[in-house]
Amino acid sequence: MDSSASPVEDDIIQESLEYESEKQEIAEAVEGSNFEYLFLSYARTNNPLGTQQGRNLCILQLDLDFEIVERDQFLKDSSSAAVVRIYGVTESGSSVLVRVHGFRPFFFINCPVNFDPVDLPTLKGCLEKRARELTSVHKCQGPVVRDLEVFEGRSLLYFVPNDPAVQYLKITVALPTHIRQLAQLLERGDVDFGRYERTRYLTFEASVDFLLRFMIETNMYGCSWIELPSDKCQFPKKQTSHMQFEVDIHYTDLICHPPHGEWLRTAPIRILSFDIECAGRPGVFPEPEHDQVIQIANYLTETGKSEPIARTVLTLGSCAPIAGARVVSFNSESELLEAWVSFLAVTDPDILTGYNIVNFDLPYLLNRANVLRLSTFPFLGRLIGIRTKMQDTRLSSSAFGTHESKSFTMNGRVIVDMLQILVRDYKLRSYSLNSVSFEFLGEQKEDVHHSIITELFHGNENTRRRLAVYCLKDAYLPQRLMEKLMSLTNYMELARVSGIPLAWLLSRGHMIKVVSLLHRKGFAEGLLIPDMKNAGHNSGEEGESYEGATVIEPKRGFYNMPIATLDFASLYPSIMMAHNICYSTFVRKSDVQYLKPEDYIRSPSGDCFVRPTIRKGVLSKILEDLLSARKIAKKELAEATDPFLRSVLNGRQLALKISANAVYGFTGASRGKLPCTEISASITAFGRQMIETTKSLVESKFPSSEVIYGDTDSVMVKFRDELTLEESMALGQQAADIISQSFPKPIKLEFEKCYFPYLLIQKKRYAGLLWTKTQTYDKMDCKGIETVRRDNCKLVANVISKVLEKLLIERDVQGAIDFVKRTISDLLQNKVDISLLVVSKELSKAAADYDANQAHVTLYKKLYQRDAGSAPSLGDRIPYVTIKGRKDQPAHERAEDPIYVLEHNLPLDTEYYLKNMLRKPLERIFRPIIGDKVSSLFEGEHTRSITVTTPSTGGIMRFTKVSVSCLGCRTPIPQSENEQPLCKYCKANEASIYEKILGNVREYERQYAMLWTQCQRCMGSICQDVLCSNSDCPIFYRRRKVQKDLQDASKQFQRFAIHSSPPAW
Amino acid sequence: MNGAASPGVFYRQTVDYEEGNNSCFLLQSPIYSQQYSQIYFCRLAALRKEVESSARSKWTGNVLFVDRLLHLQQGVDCVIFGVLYKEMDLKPSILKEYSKNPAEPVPVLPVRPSFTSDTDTVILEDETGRIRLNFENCSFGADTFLTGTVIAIKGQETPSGDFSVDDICFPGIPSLTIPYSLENDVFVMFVSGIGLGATWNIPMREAMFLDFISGKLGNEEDYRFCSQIAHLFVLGNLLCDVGQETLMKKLQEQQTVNAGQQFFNAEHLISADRFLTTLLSTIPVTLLPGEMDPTNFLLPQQPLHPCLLPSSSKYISLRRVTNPYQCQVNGRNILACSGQNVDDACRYSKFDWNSVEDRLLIMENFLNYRHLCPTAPDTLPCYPYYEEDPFVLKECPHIFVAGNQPAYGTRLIESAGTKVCLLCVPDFSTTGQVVLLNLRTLTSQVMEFMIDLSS
Repeated sequence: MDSSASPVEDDIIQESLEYESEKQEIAEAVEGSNFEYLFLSYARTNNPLGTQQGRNLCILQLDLDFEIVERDQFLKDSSSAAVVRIYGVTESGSSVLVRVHGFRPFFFINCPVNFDPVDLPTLKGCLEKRARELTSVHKCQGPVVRDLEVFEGRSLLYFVPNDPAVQYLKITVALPTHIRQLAQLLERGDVDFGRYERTRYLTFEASVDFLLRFMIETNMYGCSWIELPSDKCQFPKKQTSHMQFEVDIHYTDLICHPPHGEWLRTAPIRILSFDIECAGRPGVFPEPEHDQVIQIANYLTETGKSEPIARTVLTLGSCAPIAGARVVSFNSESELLEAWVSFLAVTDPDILTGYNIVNFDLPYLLNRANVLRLSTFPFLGRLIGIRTKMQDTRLSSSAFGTHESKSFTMNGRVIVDMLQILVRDYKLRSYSLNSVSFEFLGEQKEDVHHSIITELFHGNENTRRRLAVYCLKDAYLPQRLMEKLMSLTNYMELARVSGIPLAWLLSRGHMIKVVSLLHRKGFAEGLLIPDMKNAGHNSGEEGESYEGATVIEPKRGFYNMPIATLDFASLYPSIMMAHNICYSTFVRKSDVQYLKPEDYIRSPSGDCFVRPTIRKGVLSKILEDLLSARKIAKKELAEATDPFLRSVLNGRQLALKISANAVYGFTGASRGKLPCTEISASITAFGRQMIETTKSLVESKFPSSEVIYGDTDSVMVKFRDELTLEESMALGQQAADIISQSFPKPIKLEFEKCYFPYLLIQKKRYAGLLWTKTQTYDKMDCKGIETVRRDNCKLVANVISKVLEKLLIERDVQGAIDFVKRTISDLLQNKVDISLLVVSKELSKAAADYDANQAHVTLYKKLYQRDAGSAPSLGDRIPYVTIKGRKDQPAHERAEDPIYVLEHNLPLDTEYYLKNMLRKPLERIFRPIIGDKVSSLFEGEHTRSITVTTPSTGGIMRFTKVSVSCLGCRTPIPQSENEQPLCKYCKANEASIYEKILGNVREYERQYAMLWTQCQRCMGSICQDVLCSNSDCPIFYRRRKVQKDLQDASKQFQRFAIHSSPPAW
Repeated sequence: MNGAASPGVFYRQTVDYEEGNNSCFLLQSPIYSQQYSQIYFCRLAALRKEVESSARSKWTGNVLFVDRLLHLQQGVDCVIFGVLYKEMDLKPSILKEYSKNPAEPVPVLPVRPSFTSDTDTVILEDETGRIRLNFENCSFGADTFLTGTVIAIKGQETPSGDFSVDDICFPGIPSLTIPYSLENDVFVMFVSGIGLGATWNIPMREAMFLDFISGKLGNEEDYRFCSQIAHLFVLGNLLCDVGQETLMKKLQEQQTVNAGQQFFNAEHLISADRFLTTLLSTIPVTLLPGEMDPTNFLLPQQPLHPCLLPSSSKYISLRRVTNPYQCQVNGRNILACSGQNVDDACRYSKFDWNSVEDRLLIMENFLNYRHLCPTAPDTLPCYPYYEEDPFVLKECPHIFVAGNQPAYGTRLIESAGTKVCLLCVPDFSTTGQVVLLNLRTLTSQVMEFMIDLSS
């Protein structure tokens, strides 16, 4: 059940970025800012390129873009042209900017009716004339239409009987922007071609991005090596970038190495991880209009080096030195920001990373510089004098959801925001840097709330140092995450496999990868990809949905026997290969009659595709390449010993798998580049049929067996009631082998695992103990049982995972029931730790903008009234618990700050937690097991004992008087014997009452010591107080609670001590 | 004083007994709103001068002494001071426990003889910062050090930001007074871990012990010898049934909060009370609480409450004291503890849990560090002191004794021309051994009570 096989994949980027903006204005005479001298020791070492000695120059390409020039000095050509800039690193770590000249973009149209090649010059003239009428083309030096020629090929879409070659016109133009402009004219039929009748032309490949076009033409892949013959290189006189070397070359002289064999290696890549701190005002999240940037921490590393090149923090105001790091202090914020620009320019990193830098740090810095009117700041790219611009982008993708984001022109620096990577690739309960670091690095970091940051900033050099240490850690962690998760390696491999620049992987959806592959493969075979208007496909109305994958209705229950799982390996890719499903093999309904029946395959949904003997589909070929490359990568991985190579190969095989799975989604993406619902519908139809076939085959070949559930690419089989794991595995293997034979290659049914026992709750919701070998189980596998949802409190997740553990691993149904009862009893008796009951929601817009009454908003208003200064601000997550309130008081009004609850002993509404949070998920799990008895979990003896704490302030407490009471029976003790801990009746039991209180004291002391020493360790200092305010941490509430509990218990304890001070000697 | 007035009647010798300064160990009204950082801060403040002067006498010549870590300069040979902190992968962590089992209210941390590993790193910290120590260029390793030790280090900061160690220096054993000499042999006895209520306990051994002390065992020689024993120290774990785990279990099993629950077995308390009463009628006793005894958990442990020992508490010859505890007997300073500090130091350094020699070395190190329990509070729970660190040793005891050790062991060390006796007192319930120390010579001997059931 592969998540990436979602039927509708529609990534669209709405970029306000226009090609025009690529023609960058160069700010006049921006002096290299005056702080560069501070950082010279971090500059790249000056290794000569060796071209003088006639060595070819090899560069690992990391990013590319292009510029528009009025005249090309290199070509000595005075017409407007696009020059592609490649940013890369040599093997020795030198940064090189390669300017590639001479490449002109092109596209295709179908030939006019009765076209005669002698008319080509006429047509070219007509087109040029029409183009010149466009105002936006006026500035173009030299001709717009550079070339017009006849191209023999075929359209990628549809197989036409007899497969005739068709003539197209290939139009080569001066600049990338002209492609769209001319294509639009031609599509509208707005060009007068003299003797040819005016008609709307079909355009092909006009929507291909210029850079992708360039890469396809030069056979260049993302993050691949390019070789520049030394005799073809020209070195410009004037340096235009911060990079070490600049080279000019003609595009035909480039040698691009596909990423195979020796060209799989990588070069030393410089990665800068940074973090900024801002001094916000009380109660308001920092805003660049008002709040200063006070520190910027930088952690600069190079791949392949174990030690960082620089650990530097730039601070506003003096800051005490930090061992192991360099502190550079400035007197003004403008200097601080300028110094950072110098730092970037000198250190020249290839990759910029950090945590949420795209949506916080970078925009903040740019906006802040704007507020400060700091004209020298926004030059963060690698080109001298090119201003960094920020744009809003919106990426909507069914796989990643809709994200609003920012994009930056940072020529040559690739922004890899670890937050974005994690959100894309991992499903987590919380994405705070803290919890992510704990999850992946096992490191907790101190969480300093932004209100404390300002305080520390206004302190002295030592408090600012404290802040700087914190800031450095925030810069260091993203780099560690990147290393640990091997994000850069994996993404580089993905760029290599799919053939697109690294930066596109992050800024665009899955589709661009398939587009690249399709173009590369198709163009090599002379197949042209038609330009589709969005959703303008002929197949039917917009929004027509086709049947999704089949789900065999689950037979719910708790199976205490092995359940064999038969999976189709890479289901959709293998269907496409097996049945040759492709754009280029798809036969129009009206054309089917002209084909021989043995030449095509009809899918269960009624669409026809020619057999590979007639023409092999491009998609099949792409998939075959990807999957066989994956096989090779996996084989190499098994043989490799070098850890670095292993990580590359593993990244590669993952990238290949992701890319293969993206192909199916591409065909179904209704708003994509080339949607074809017939293709995706056929694929799913085959899939459904296969699941059905498998079910009937299993049930007929293995009598008494039963398919209890099936979904998309797998079926769950119960062979017999009484069956050992071994027998079940043998039968599973046998079934997989037999049934595989009834499907065309490469479709393969695989047996990989058994579930034993298996709890089937409903479709897409199940849990089981997973076995791949008979000795030990592999893990507990849960699907669709939400334990990571954030709007639940942790108690729910904990109880459910524990219950599943008891049911599946220990197979102790009664134990699970007892556990649930005990938990419920603990909950009602107020013994559950408050941190497990906390729910937190983000205050994502101003309180007034929320329509409905939501708990966290109501609480926010309450907190704001209590103390505007410490109240959370926009963007903060507000943790709350639900307390008891007046009768009929709505739940949202009963939300309260957990710390406030602890300090005031407010009673929690434990029944609310039981009814609204625990009950439903538990019922779902237990119903298949104990049926209607499930309600007994929530009723009965264990729910009778209820403890409610007495609030220490407000309400009834205003009318009470504190008096000393007996610690044994709580009878008030008369004033006369006020010193006594016990009343005279309890006196006889003194020892046992003493012991009881002692028991509490000991337990709280133990907790106090454990919790507070842990915080001290996390914080990374033993001599300084803990400030951390990370409410995600399991310790946060407990350590506050234990202080209070211990103080209370100790007070009771002391009453005994006062009463009997040790005898004086 | 003198023993035999007439044959058959021996009078027990008496000693001059003076309380040490234990007021800082007695917590009158503890507060818990503070954190642990203050205790390290105070410790460093108290020992900085000491370690500096000892370093200055160790490293003479042209050495740069850097007063605060933040003034450290890269590549310059210098001496720095601070508190050690050891980062250890195996160090039990409540966070690790939570991630293993998030439902657990407050998990019990695993306990084992050693938590050291090859990846342990040592960090030096002062009020202004911390720096990682690198032992590549010296003969020391991370494994001998303890978190919380105040130290001076000679070396230089490397370009990678570590501090490369050439040599180290501790504050050194503090000064001690030369005690007046004694003419006669007089003994004090140490016992620990009697463990009343332990399942493995052999009640007859305790009876023999009582008989011996009260002079009912053996011949006249034995009686005479016994009369020379002037005082008995019980170094913790008189009882045995308050293991943290059993306590935790009881707390968890408890279904309702209001039921008056008893955590300690009343029977054991009664037998302890009876045991003490019998002892007290023949010998004065100083009673330190230990890990297993019914008192608080954090160091310093408070004296056992009289209500637990109703009849023995009435004896004036019983001193219920704190753990740790100091006193002066015949002018000899005794510093006694129930052994948690030594155990914890074993767990977090390379020292062998079962080797008594190693344990004596740890005790000697404590004197050198001028600290009674450096690993508190990091791994050894202690009260969050905030005005001073009372565990800092201001003067050296003549006798430093730790209870509940795996075996008997002793070592005499010289300091400033005077002998200092280090003493490991074994656990009685497993060994049947008690230790006798001659106050005149500071030599000790072990005595074992054994019942040969075969005969």
